[in-house]
Amino acid sequence: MEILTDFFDTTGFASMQFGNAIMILIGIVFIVLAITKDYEPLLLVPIGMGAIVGNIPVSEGMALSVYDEGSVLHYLYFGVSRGVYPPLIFLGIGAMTDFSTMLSNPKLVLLGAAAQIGVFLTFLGALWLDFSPAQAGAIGIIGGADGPTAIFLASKLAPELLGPIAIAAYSYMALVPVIQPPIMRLLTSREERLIRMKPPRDVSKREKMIFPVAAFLISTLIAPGAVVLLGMLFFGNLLKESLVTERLARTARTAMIDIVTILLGFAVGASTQADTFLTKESLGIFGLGALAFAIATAGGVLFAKLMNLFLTEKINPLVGAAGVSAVPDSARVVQMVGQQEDPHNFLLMHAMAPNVAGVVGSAIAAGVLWSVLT
Amino acid sequence: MYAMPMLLEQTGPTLLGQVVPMLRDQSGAGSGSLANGLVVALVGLMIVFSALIFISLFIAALPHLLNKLAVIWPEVDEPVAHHAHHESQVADDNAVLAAIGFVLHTEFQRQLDSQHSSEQSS
Repeated sequence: MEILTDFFDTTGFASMQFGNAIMILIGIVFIVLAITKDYEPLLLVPIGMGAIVGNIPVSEGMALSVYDEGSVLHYLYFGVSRGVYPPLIFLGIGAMTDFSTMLSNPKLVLLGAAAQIGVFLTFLGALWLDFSPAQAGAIGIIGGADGPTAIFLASKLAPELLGPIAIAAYSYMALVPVIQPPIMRLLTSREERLIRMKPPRDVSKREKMIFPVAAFLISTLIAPGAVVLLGMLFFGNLLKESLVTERLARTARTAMIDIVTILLGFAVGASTQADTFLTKESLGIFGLGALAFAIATAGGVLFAKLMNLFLTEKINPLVGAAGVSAVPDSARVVQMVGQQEDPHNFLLMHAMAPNVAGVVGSAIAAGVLWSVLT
Repeated sequence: MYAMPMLLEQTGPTLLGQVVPMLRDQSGAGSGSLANGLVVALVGLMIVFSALIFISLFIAALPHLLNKLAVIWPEVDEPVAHHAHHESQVADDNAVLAAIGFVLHTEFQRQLDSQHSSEQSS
């Protein structure tokens, strides 16, 4: 009987806490949402499974969790905690991004900058809630709506908040179709939503080849802190656009980004152990994250309306909402909301311009915060 | 360290680097107050806008620059990839390979069959 009792003490049932059960449930909800609602399945399935794995209680002395030095999960988590995975994801994103729409309509780039107002206002909100400046910076970047960037900055500025920040960033990215449309409708009139934009011009191969190198030089000379993320993003894009490294570009945008996404999602999920994740701070981070996302969306839309005061060829202000860098989801949302008013208005290509500019903008914002707050 | 001036110093020879002393006086580096946060937020947003405005201006100017460049170095329609290293052009499309394999197999099979039939007839 004693042997049976000893055995029971070593099982997960004996040391299961209420928090662990909650986190396992959250992991299951993520997986269900991914499967049934198709919300960012490539992220939510690895994160959900990781959360389940990370919340199985283990006997003391067994090095199994991401926080136990020497465990397998600890090595997988190394890429998260040291910010290795996000730049690799950026390489893949660069190799799959077509900057043509941005090159054909450069004024839309500004919408990608305007949406970053969400980052900096949330930074102020977090400071006001007594988070340290470094923690506030890491929380603010959730407003960039860019998971890899949020993880990268959190790993540098506030590793203790990495789990909640990563989960918040990816959750809100998955919820783009839910969060953005009401804000977009609230801030625009029907007439504005009906605005049709001129089709983008053709962009030459030479423009596409020169752009990644030039844009990298411009942005990183102004904000050197963004050199890692933007270096990889534009390197990936150069692989694609140079036309002579198609094999490398293909690997970067398929096999490599998939492998890194699996490792990153699973490791982030496994880091959400109840004792480190279910805290009052996490609730604050989720609240601020939602605020950041909403402000970023509103910032883009309102800036588009401001630009329209000076432009002869009007911009559909819905396009401004794509300034958050959730590529391509927020551009798809713009298309969807636009077509609800006019089924023959195709805004997707126009929305891709601020969308990819938002990726660059949030990486620059992350570089700025990293440089200042370390 | 919690100071905008540090970032601006890192911008080196750029225009932003010139405002370092002014911001250092105003932000009181290291004090960590909400007021300093406001300075960080404003200048941070300004840096993001500056970078993207410069990128936007560059993009707007690029076609004109390339038109001028085309006079001395015309853009050819044929991609450089045609002259590229052979490894970058290896066709590894599974569908194409499967189709080639199928054709070869059918051809060899047909030759084999005709060989057999000619042997039998002789």
